[in-house]
Amino acid sequence: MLFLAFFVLVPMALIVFYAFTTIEGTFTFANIQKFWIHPEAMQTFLYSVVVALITTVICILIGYPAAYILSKMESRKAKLLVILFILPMWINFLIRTLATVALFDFLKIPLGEGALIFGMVYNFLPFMIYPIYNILQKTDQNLIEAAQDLGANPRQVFFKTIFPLSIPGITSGIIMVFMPVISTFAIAELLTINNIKLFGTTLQENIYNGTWNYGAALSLVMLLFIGITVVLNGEGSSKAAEEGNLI
Amino acid sequence: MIKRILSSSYLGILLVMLYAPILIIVIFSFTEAKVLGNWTGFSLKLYASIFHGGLHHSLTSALWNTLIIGLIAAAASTVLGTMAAIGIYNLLPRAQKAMQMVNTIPILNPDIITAISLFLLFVSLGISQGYATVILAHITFCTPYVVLSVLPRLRRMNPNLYEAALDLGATPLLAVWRILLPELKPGMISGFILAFTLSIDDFVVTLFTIGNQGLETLSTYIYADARRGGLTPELRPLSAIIFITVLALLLVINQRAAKKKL
Amino acid sequence: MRTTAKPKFRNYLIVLVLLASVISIFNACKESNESRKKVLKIYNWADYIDEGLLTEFPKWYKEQTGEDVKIVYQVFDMPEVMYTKIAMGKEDFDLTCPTQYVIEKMLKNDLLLPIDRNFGKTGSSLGNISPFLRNRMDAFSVPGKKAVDYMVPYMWGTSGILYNTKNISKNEAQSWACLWDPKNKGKILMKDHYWDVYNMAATVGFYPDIVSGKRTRYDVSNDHADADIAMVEKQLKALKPNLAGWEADFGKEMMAKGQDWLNYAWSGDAVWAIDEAKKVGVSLDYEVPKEGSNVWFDGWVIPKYARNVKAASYFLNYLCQAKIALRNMNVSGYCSAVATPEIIKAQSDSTLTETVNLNYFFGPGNGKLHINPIQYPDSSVVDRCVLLHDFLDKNDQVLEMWSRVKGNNVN
Repeated sequence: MLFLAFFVLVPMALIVFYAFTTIEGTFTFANIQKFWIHPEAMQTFLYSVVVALITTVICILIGYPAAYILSKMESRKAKLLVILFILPMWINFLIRTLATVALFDFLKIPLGEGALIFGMVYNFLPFMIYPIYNILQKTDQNLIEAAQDLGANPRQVFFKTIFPLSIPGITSGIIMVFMPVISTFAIAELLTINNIKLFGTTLQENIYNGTWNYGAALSLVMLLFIGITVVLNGEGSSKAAEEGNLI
Repeated sequence: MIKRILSSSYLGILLVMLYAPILIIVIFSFTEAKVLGNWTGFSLKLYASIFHGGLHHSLTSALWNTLIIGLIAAAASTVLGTMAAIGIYNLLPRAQKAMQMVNTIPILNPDIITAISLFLLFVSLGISQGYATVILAHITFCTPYVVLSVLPRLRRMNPNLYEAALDLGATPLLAVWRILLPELKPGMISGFILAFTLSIDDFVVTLFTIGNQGLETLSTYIYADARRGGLTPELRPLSAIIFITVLALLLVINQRAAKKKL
Repeated sequence: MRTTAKPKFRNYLIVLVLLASVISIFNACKESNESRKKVLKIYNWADYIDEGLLTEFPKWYKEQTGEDVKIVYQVFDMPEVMYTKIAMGKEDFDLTCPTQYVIEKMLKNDLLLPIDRNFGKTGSSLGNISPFLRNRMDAFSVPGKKAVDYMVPYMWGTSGILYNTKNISKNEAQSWACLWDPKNKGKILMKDHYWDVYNMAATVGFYPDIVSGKRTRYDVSNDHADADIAMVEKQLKALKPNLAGWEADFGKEMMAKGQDWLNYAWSGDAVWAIDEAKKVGVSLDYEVPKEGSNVWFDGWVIPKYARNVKAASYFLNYLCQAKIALRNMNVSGYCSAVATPEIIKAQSDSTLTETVNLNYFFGPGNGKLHINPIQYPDSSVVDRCVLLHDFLDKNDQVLEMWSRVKGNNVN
């Protein structure tokens, strides 16, 4: 805990420090103001949020059934398959993305928004499947049987019992997918030939081109925005978790 | 029956999609062209030249470093993450939520921000950068993922087991070791795998904490080459080899487990 | 349920102690002052030097000075990262090789140390650098600091258009206007690099003024007046719809695959691409358009926090020897700043029919050389190329313009 506190909070403090200062070191709100005044950063951010939402939703739609099927399979086989889903992640990110570009060229599909979404989903799907699978696997069989005994049909069993219990897994998946999508820049760069700019690119440009302070301010704004969303979300999910625990 | 076929084919299609780009990498590892996508005739030359790196900027040492850093960082994160998860679990609900938020920050933060902030941290503390700082940095961003894997498992666990063990005369340490950890093991394993995956693929954080002693990981090696002369073509056979090796290992382990059950 | 507090606390303590000891062990392995004097830390682009030299230099150094030295070599992928690490991280690299505008920034921000020219019995090969580059280098001098004392050019080149000869004629490629030509829509890759692109747009926009003599090319490229920035913005916004996209490093590969027809490229990359493309039957060529362009060079400098200036300076001396320069040229594929008769001999290609006037680079008597004109541009080409300066105070403004051009994705 102490470790976490130190290594997480102190760098965060540094970011806050940078966000509120200019290059000379004087305290100023100018950086935050810049964000509001310049529509491009805001628009890029909102666009990225939309892309992230679409990606997350698609990942859930594709990933949940996959995780469900896996959880129903024989444990040994399921474990093997889950690892197979994670395996592509071990090939370096850059070459994977380049191979996706090559794949698209090969199939003569033009690069652009569609390619971007595909690339994002491709990259983050395992991160959604994994937590959902984990939680589905631990779902107490007794609960399901109890529901069945009480006369529920398979559909009701799923929607009223299994699904709500798996929500913490979905939440984990969302956390691991949503934000990273906003901040990844290489995928957007390669799969849309830089035509589509995501917020991650904006950040990277600012840091690399020397306008650190603005970059730090940008990331703080982003963090606050997401942080608020997570807190609101957290209210919902912890309640569900608690209800699940009341056996 | 139909359900079975449908579900298997669903998984099958997904896997095909996931592996299509990998297949491309493997196919093009058999040609010498520097550009991925060009075919200049069948050749095994790239396979031969993978391990002929120079002393200084070599693919082999980068690979080796990546593996070592990954394993150490993943192991440490798993230990720390599990301890943190247990710690969080024992807090009052309000403090729990707060700690969970703190935990989630490294996941939510864009990796370049994590990179720069850690870089500045190490600079201001005067810590000489190199292996140690990279590992520490990796631990910082991997641990939250471990916590995320272990915590749900903790929540699902029957709280009475631990108390029962204590009642039966076990010391707290023994109870933790014999009862708690085995329950958490699956969560810990998935946390470990997740941490390892994240560590070997990481680029930006590694870039900024790598110091000036000539340390390189696979990611920094690849990106540095990509900027200059295009992606190192030797990367394709290397990826293919890594992939086949891990796949083979998996199958072997799987077979072994099957035999055990019988 | 609550686990008891004791084991938890004790475990944390153990971990903390372990961590602390790990850190202190690594810190203890930190070089002591004395041994640091025997190390030479070099920070360079990837694949930009013959690595065999890194093992041979220590032997040469021992011969020349009787001292030992060990080379530690680190690569960076972008000069901005290098700049950040040195400026903010105070990394103690002894040598690094940035592009000229970054050198300018470093010199102005007092981040460089002068080269130690006391070469004793060895003598200096630094004079091997072409007078052409030495003269242009002077433009970077700051009051009190002459550029020539702080940098040694390494590789140089021009920027221009890399084009697919099947779809674009040589005539078309001789003007930047072909990038704005709607017939090429969707087949153009622009560099995602605001220095070069600014220059191109400004040169194109103010070409009438250049032709009439009202403004010089140098002025157009380096004045950075508000009106200039506005002109650049106008030109780029007109260009954007015509592009396939912006690339930072994969343009030459996409050209070599025959996917696009036009690409803003640096001469070194163009040579690479033309070669690669030949292997798959794609024919590429390179032109520096008539409106004008820029000459760039990468140079070695000694950063402020260096601890082994002597070995660093000797290394620079070493690099300027003709044979060594040739080896680096071969490995990197770029064109060396060194200009001696050995280079001419090695690089001349008698199978080439056209000749190039390289008096400006190699000195008088070299007006008709049979040599690759992309690597060694003719004097007429160089006459229309300027050296670009850093944007300095105007940097923020130009960046804002740049982000307006690249746009929100709604456009």
